[in-house]
Amino acid sequence: MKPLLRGLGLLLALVSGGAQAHSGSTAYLQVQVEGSHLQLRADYALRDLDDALGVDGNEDGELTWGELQAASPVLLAYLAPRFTIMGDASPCALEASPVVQVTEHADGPYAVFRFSAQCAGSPRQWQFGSTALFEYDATHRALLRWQQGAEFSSARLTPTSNSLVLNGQRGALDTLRNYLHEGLAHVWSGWDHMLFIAGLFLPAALRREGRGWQPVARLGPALADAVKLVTAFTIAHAITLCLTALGVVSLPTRLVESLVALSVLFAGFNNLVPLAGRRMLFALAWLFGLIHGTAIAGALLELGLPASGRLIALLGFNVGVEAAQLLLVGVLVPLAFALRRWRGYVPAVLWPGSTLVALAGLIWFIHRAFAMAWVLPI
Amino acid sequence: MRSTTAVALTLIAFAPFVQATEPFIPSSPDTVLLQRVPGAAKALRSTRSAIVSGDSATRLASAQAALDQGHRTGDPRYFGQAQALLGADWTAPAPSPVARLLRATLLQQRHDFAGALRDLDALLTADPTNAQARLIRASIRMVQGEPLQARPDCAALIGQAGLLVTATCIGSVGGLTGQGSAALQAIELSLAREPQAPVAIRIWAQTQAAEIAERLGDAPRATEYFAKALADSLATGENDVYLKAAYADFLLIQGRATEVQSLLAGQTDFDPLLLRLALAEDQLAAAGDARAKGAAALHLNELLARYALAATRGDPPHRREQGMAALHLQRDIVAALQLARQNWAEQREPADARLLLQAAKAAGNQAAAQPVLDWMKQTRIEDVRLQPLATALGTMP
Repeated sequence: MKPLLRGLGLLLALVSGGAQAHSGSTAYLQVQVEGSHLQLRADYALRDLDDALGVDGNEDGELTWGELQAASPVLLAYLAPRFTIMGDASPCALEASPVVQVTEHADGPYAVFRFSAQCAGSPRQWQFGSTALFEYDATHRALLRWQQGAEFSSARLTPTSNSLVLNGQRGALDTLRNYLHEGLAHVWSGWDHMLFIAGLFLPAALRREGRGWQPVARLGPALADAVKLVTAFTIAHAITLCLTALGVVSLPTRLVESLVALSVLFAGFNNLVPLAGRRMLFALAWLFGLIHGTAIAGALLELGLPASGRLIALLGFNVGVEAAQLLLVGVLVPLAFALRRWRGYVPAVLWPGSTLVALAGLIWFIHRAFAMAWVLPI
Repeated sequence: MRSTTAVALTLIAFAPFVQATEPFIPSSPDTVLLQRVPGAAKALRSTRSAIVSGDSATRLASAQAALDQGHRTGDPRYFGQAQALLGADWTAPAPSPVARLLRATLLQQRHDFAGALRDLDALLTADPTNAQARLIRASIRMVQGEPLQARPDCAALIGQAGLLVTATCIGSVGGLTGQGSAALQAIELSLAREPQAPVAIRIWAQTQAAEIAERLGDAPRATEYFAKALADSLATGENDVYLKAAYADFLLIQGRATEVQSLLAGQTDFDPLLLRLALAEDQLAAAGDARAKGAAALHLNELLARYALAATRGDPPHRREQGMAALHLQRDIVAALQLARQNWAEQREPADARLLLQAAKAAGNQAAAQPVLDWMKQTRIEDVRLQPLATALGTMP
């Protein structure tokens, strides 16, 4: 019977669905970086310090301010060597302030310790780690807030992941890579942009004859036409993207977004009912390119350009955007070419596809131009 | 333990940092910063120094003690300490049976049922007479909504455990599978037959009896057993968070919100109890109590801050409770339904079923309730709280 008594405790706790009371052991670490100098404020729960190292000198269950002060050399001797701070892979000299303070977090009183670290040179990359208290409590977490200039980042240190690398001043290559990625991601996740391009290039391997469509004979001219079209579009929107992102022009978002929707509607509709001939289409691609560039710049404005390396960031973003849409064209045009002689292409792909594009454009247009707030799946 | 793996910067909330007060220096050395149980920390430290010597029996005994203290107080730090004390046993493929049972218990505590079952299966294969492992495995099956799979483990306790333990285990299964009256009678009989059973077991049996009576719609009997369990629990000085939460849920359905307030007074340290208190205040506010309205709003904010901190820490989420808060306090039906569905994928107790039915009904989404309706049919559970919801959902257009 005796051992079951324990099992029973377990059972009750289990049936409770693991009811979580209080909060787990948490430390709050705040770092401020200025040049090669780093300041760390570390808040540890008094309760955790008492459990791990002993704060209650006279063991009467009352932790006093006097006792915390008396224990602080021991506490600092424990904490200080458990921090790892490196600038560009060389360790920084950490110094503890003898002044200890007290603060209240949501779950009780905490002791506040302050450290400063001097690193060699002016590091571009930092490494920060702490192993404190993990050996006593496997669910202890150190929440880190890292401030460098106006930039904040945050992270969580755990027993199995107790150290991390932070990039300080970003190198030009990093900036380029980051913004290139953002440009790619923006186009791939923006349906209106992709649908516009799809609408333009669905009939890439066909040419109009009277009221119907005929397949082109060779891939070469079709591809060349597609490249011309996409180049016109691309140059146009690169221009407005840069002008808008640099703050030279600024157009109302609602106007721009509505015009983008209109361009999608046009791209689809033009395949169903011919509105623009070949020459006219180039002109329109150019015009719509200007509008799309303004729209895409909106995303870049939200993302923000770095103070240093604005042009590199802009270049990266632009290259990302172009790469994403060229990728789509590169898949779409050969596919359309391969299927061009298939009798089902016009009735089963071109018409329904174009109708879908036009419909999406129409819905977006009404939605954006008249600020209608119905729920759209996209 | 020391690793220098670079982690990606997670975009976690700064809110926990903002909540702290400005650091200060107290006025006098005698200023009391924190009250604790005298000597508790010292005892903890002295067992730790014994562990440094490498004695595994002392280490496991300390882990067990930390675990017990976690259950007694409902304080999660003790579970983290127990895990740390397990040391290498935490990740070993096949630790000793004692260590493995501790690990299984900690795993189920953090809702890693699959991990816990792996350990329990291995323990029971090696030693079919391990009654504790059987009891835990049976209760995991019940939490997972598979009472029929729990039955063989409960039956195997006959002769290995006392009458009351066995009867309560089997009765719990019966209470979930359409044999509530018989189950309640069996637990009642065993309570009478074994008055000398340890008080913790009596509290468990009485709580189970109360919950079965509640599901059968016998409110007076449920009240009687909840009150008995609570009295025994108070006498032992332990803080049975589960019992109080279950009792509060029962009282809330009965519309006895003021009783919930007095039951949970001074218990707001515990998230599940803070939630029930806010629910009670919300009920009173709906009846026109202006002061309760303010208190409910305040307690809801506190609760949401705690959920946010838990998420920032990366703790396993408590979706049942977050779903209850979303549905009844925040009145965010979309979020509540999502939480209820995710919760149902993890645990399937009657309270989880109720949450999903309520959220589905509020959202007018019959399809979302279907898994629960199927489960009710399959287990033949009798529950006066679920039946009307199921009927309403079944007749929805």
